[in-house]
Amino acid sequence: MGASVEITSGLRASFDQAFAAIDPGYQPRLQAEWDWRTRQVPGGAPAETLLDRRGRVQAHYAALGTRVLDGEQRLPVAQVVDTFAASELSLPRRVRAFTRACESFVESTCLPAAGGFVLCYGFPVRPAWRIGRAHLGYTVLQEFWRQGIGAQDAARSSVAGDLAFEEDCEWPAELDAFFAQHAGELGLPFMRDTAFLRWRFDQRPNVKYSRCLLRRGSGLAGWAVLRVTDWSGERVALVCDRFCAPGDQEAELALDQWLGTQALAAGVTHLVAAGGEHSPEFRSAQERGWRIARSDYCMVGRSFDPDRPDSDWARRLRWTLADTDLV
Amino acid sequence: MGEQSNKLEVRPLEPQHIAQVLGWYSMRKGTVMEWLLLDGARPVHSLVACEGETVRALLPVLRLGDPIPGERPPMWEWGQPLVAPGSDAGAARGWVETLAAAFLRGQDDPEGVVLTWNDTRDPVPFDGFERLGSWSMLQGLPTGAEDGAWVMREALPLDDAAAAFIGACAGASAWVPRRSSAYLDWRYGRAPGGGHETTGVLEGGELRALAVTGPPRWEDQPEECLGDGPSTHVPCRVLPVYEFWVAEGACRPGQALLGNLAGQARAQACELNLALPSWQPAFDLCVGMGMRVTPTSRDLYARPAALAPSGPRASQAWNSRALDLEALRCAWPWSLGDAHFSWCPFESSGPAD
Repeated sequence: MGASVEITSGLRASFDQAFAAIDPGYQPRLQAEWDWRTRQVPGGAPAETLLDRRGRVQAHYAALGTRVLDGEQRLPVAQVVDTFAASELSLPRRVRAFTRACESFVESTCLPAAGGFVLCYGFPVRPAWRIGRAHLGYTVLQEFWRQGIGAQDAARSSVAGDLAFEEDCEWPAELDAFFAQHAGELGLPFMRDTAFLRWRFDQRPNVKYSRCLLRRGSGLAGWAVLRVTDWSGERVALVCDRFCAPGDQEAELALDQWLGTQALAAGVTHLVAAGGEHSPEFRSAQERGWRIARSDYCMVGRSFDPDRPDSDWARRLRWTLADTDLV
Repeated sequence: MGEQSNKLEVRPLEPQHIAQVLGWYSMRKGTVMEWLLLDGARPVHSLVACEGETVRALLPVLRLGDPIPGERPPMWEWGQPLVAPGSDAGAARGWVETLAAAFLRGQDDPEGVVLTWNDTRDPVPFDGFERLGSWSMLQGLPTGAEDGAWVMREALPLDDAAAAFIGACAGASAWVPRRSSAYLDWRYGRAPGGGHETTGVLEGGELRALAVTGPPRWEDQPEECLGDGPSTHVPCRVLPVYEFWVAEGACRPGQALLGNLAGQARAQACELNLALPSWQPAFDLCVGMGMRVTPTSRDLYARPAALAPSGPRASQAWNSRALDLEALRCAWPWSLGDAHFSWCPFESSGPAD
């Protein structure tokens, strides 16, 4: 999948300049955040940087490596993040530079390169994906449905007597096997294991997540991760990740209860999650009172495996906000 | 049309072709096909590939709504191509490609678009289409008692006033298939089998919300589990809502209408089933009353209604320039009524059991 990108001072400066040009509220990242987003990523963080003859950054195309589970196979996939073209270039030159950086990234890191990514995906705001479609072959894979419920309603969910929560504890070793045991019922789920969860939620600098493990007796029955933040203009409790065995309604209700209680304790009235309509949990969440609404985002992607067309990914990918760089 | 490919000739569909096509699949009802493709009040756009007088393949084509010359780009719907059973697969593919190319070559509006709904269990039978997205439905029995404060009018005539109301609700986007009273009369008044009902909500004598429902039917829905085994589908009895239009700002009349439809569905032991893009305010109204977003086994595909340059890269680049999928997705107020072939199938669209 390629080595993680080395963030040079020149690249950082170009990045800051490019993103400050489009976002007046942009705050430069600290070195710790860059480290977390590059060399600490369990699946690698390859990138392609296009330089001009004088060594100035023209365009940068980067990704976070992760994996999707398909039966026994762990398929390497890339979440495309932090891409840009130098803001001082004219629009046609920016498009050309960006396209060249992307093509070079694809050639070196995606199939048919050995061990290459089988899928690149991302979560742009809707207008932004036009460039990916026009120049890079991206297509919309899934809707990015916003799922919401009142924290009070969630907190009223029942918790079966044999279920109990463990809060803010270590991710247990048994989690890997628990997820693998049920992954076959999830279509093509993004991989969950302790290495990923530690990186995603424990090691991220300057962001605080709350989490619980759900136990049935001594055995693991699920988990949930919550972050209270401003999102799309409102203060919400974001469900960054949750998992239990598909069809385990008691566990789903218990996780709802924990999430609702946590949100209320933080003074927040609404819980928000996200997912695609083909997620196995999509219907049962609605039956428990979660309401679906559109969002500004969509999940786009490009398959590099001829045996797995875009429509196959679109129908079977299971993801949560943990698989985005939005939270 | 008169296109020649060896002995193959492409012709507009005519009544005598229908009998041959019906014979292929032992279809019991030619009336649905004749109504959809050969209604005397609407131009015929479907094409057949013939060898002599023998029909080899049919490309079903409908124009969404009514044409407005020079005003809006046309939106076409292609149904699944029908091919004479027992045909060589390569020849069949060639016939379908020939029909598709003939249709596209005959178009004179470069901004036109062709849509097709395709079951994900089958390959897309045409080249050049791009996936617009999954086709999800809103389904369920909305909660909330029927609101007696509103004047509910059933058996509302689908006349010029109703057509004008729909037009006003749909907005001024380029991607709005116009529904005239003539179109509505064809689409719902003269559909074989009948059973379409119209319900409107009036406020001060003015129409504020309108729905057209069809006869109850069984809808094949994918089960939740998406594991490694073959995907399974379960039938669910639904009352299809082909049209659901709410005037801007008329939230309560819209809720009243949905409540009334829920009562109709409940009385027939059905759930309501309708299609709305999520950017429409009526989508939030439906979800707010407890309807579920429910995936189907169908995807929606689109392509420009014109021939692309040859070569896959040229074709893809041209598609991207010629058709702004995002604009289409965010400006086309689709409804179940737009999906003619998927939800008004010929009696059997495949070989008879």
